[in-house]
Amino acid sequence: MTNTTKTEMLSAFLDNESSEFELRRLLDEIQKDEELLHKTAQYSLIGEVMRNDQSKVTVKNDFLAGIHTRLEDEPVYGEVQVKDTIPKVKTSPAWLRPAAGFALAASIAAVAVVNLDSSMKPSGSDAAQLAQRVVQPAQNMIVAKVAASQPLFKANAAIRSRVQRYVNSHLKYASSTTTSIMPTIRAVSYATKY
Amino acid sequence: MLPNTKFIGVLPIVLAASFYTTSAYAEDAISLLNHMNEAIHKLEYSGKLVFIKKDSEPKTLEIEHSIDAGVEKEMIRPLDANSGEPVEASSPFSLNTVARVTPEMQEVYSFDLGSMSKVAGRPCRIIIARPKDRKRYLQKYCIDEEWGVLLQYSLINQQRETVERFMFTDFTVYQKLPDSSNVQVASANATAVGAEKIAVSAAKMVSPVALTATQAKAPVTAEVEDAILVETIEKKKQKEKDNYSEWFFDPLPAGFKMISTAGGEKVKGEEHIIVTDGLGSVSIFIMKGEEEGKDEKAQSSMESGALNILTQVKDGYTITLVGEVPKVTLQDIFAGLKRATIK
Repeated sequence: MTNTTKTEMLSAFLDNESSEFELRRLLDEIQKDEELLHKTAQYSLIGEVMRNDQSKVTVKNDFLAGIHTRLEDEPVYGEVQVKDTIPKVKTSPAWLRPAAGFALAASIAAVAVVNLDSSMKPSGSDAAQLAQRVVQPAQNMIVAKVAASQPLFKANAAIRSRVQRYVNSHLKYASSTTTSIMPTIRAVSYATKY
Repeated sequence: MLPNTKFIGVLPIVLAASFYTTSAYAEDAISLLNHMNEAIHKLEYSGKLVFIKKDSEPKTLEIEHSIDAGVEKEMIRPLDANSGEPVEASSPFSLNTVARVTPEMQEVYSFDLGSMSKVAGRPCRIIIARPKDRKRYLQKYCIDEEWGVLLQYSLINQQRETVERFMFTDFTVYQKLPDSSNVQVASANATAVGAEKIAVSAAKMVSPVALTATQAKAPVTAEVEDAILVETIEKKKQKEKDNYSEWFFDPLPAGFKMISTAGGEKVKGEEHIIVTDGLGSVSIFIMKGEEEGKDEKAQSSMESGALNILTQVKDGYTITLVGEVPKVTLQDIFAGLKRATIK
């Protein structure tokens, strides 16, 4: 299977347009292709970047101009190693393989679904249907792939941080250089914990 | 059977009147939109409003707009549970800043005057900015004809779904400054670009010293005018230098034009380009490094209300587009984005 076909299958999966057959094929390919595994988790987690801010909005002066200052004060996520919570299994008895594959697929889907709140979601997708379709036992999943997923948590947090910064920059600079309705109201509604 | 000929002679008159009426309504709609831009800055008001995004819970906010010694200030306070402290907006234009309607905007939007409605107990006139293609949202305004305040605003997609809306539930005007007064954005809170725009436009009208409201305009001498002109030209040259980019668009979707390439600051080697059609804007963020060799056909997108985000790789660069336009428009802008190569 060519890289183009794999990418098309991945895009269809993320857009909730995969058939059952295509989904099984995608999971089979993920077993064999480490790069595809990386890409799947990376693109799935982009959908969580606009979750609500958990901190109170306490900036009293120059709210929008302070967003960049606050972001600069945040830790650089790329330097923080997220603790691996996925169990490593060196030997894989036959009965364990489907369960391990289930765990990997579930971890990808769970992160994508749990962190996709009502504010941000993949275009045209139903988060619940997405979870149900992905959380299926994968046949003969190679458990070693689990270890390869560790760096993904670092990359995903960085992606999340970057896209959130982009949205803040857009709300700030596009509203000041162009004309727009209610940029501050949008920014406040995104930032406030609800 | 022959048609009743006495009506045939009236038909051209009826058609002409209909055309005139449609044009007159469009001109009235544009006039009211322009009035909305100007009137809001001279008012002191407060109100409560509801902000609703598609597939999200409504959020309520309180807004206060005041003018102190000629300087506009605005406070926005979320009212829902778990809300934080009040925030002071960096720009007092959080409610409505709409470009003066230009011929270019009228090529992609038709502006229609609607019926009267009522929002927050106040009568308001509905105005529709109807897109002439599928590249932008339909925008519906309800403007208080007395105060020129935007009381309700909706963005509607091609499926006739309201993707984002806000409306006042309570609105009170305390004071209206005279039309002749000059009002300035609060300097401590203004963004760099916003303040520059206002400062330059204000300096052209009055002496650079006298920028406060209620003061009489100082006489502008030829030397002052020259100094302002030189300063403006120098700033423009510096801005062009700062805004240089190796990226360009060929083509942009109809009605869109590039207005900024710096976005105020460059962060970690990224570029930030802004394009707009006058009513909707899109930010394009360009970052090099992480995606070289990766598949350029893979695309990720997400939406939140009217805001769409698209990420895709081009020429080894990660391109992220953010804007209050449909996803298909982001795809078209991405397709038209090209990088100049030095031969």
